[in-house]
Amino acid sequence: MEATRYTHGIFVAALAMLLCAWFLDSIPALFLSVFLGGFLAFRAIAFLRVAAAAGATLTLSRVAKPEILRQGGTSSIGTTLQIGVPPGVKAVISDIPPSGAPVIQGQAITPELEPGDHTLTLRYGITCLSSGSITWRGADLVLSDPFYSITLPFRGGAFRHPVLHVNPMGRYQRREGLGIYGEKDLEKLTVMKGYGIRAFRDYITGDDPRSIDWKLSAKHGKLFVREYSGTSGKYPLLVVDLPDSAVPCPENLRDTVLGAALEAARDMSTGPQGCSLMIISGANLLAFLPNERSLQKIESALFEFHSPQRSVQCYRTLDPVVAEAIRTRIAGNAGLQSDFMKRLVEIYTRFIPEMRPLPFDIQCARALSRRNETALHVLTTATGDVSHLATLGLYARRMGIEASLGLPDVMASPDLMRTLRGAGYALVKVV
Amino acid sequence: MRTGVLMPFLLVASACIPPLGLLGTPTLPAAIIIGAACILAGYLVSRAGRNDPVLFLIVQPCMALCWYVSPILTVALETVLVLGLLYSLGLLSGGENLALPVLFLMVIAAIAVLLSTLPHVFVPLSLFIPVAALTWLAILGLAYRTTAHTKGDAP
Repeated sequence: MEATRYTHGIFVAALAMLLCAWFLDSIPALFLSVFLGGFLAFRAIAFLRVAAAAGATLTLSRVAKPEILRQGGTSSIGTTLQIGVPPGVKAVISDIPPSGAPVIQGQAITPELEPGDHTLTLRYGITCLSSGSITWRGADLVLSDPFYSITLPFRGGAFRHPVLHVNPMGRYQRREGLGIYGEKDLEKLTVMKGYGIRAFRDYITGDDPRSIDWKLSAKHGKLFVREYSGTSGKYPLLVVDLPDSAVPCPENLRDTVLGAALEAARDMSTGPQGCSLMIISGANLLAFLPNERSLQKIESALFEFHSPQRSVQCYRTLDPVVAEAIRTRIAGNAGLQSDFMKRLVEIYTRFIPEMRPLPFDIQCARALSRRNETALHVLTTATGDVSHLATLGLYARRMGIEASLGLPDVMASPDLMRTLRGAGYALVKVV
Repeated sequence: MRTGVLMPFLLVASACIPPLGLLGTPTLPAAIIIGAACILAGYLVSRAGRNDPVLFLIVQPCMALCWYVSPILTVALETVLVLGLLYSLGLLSGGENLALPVLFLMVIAAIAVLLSTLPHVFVPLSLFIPVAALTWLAILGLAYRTTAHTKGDAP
């Protein structure tokens, strides 16, 4: 509760009268001091009673269009307020938009409401800069009379609806070639026509008239038709590697990867083979959606595993084949026969027969051995251990699958890029 | 009477009553000077715009002088002034809004009667300060309760 200028003035007068009463031993001054102080107290009690009554009459309903949007998108809000303002009091109601969603159109605050019953609608637009499920923070009712003002914060569930679902925004770096599938023009005829022209030839009856090159035909005096190059593309298996929620990871990294995955999934889900999506967190397979056409299912899967906990950690896991290769190289190289190396060869010799593939290795092998699986694209935050990415890259290389990887710009250190290229990713791009 | 002229009218009336009551006493010149000063100040304030709480405050020195005429008259004038101020501010519309002012004015009247019987301020002053402190603590508690109870889940 705050006092207005009038209240301050009356309080100072009461205090002055009190001092007069004390120093001059004046009963009238004391009476006036008691009277003015009592008046302020009486007005405070009366105002608080009125404020409580006014607060009880406030109802709010809010409509947001759309409720599902992408980060940075705009949503139009219509907030309908009903309130009965008591006599002698003025009211101002502020609709408080969600954190990270500033008002960009209109106003989320009412004009000063005079006493009486009011029903009014606030129309404004917000832009959602943060992602996830965001709710309003509520509403503030500011009541004021000539002596006091008070702000009543309404933060209950009824004042926080609806929930806006804001999908993170990310830029999906295209793979080599055109489009989501990395289409390339081929110097041969295929069922799918490319954009380039590989040759011209004489017109044969039955050729599509649209392919006649009229300029060339006019120049030589006979009909020539364009022969378009063929096109080929690969349907990638999209792998989204989410960071461990138990390890601190900047929220924007997670959102960048999720946004890029959503953008890629939107394009791929409308394609002829749908979107093949594999959601992992380290060496933990969270979801696998082969040839999924429903974008809703893809979005639900991505948001369901938004903050996973890695139950399996595979820090610097070693593949048996790679271990055997290392053992053979050390054993066969006379220059490496130090005591340590001999001991290492001995350990490898004992361990390698006992090494069993991890469940993740089997899952990778199965996912990549599907028919028509010709490309792999991994989107990762690249935080923490990346040995599972090495496993994925290794299996892709074994199966002759073209593997590419996208990671946030800030994480793309030269060392990491070198490591990932060494792990079998032909193309490492930042998202 | 229009609400805009009510408080200026009450100010003039309240400023004129003490000199009339103090006719023939040594405090008459002081009452005339204070009454005139209040009227002048009220006029200047009214010219600047409608400001009823300030007029209410300006007239208080006249009430101090009025005490020497009669404490009961002082209480009666303060009652009229308070009711006039609340009416002009629109805070006195309805029966339920009348209960608290009436209670307040009855308490003030009782205090005035008690104070009029006392020769010195020491005892009432030493009682007034702790009572005022407790009252304001209670008001702060009430304000906190009003703010904290508006969760928004109700209606």
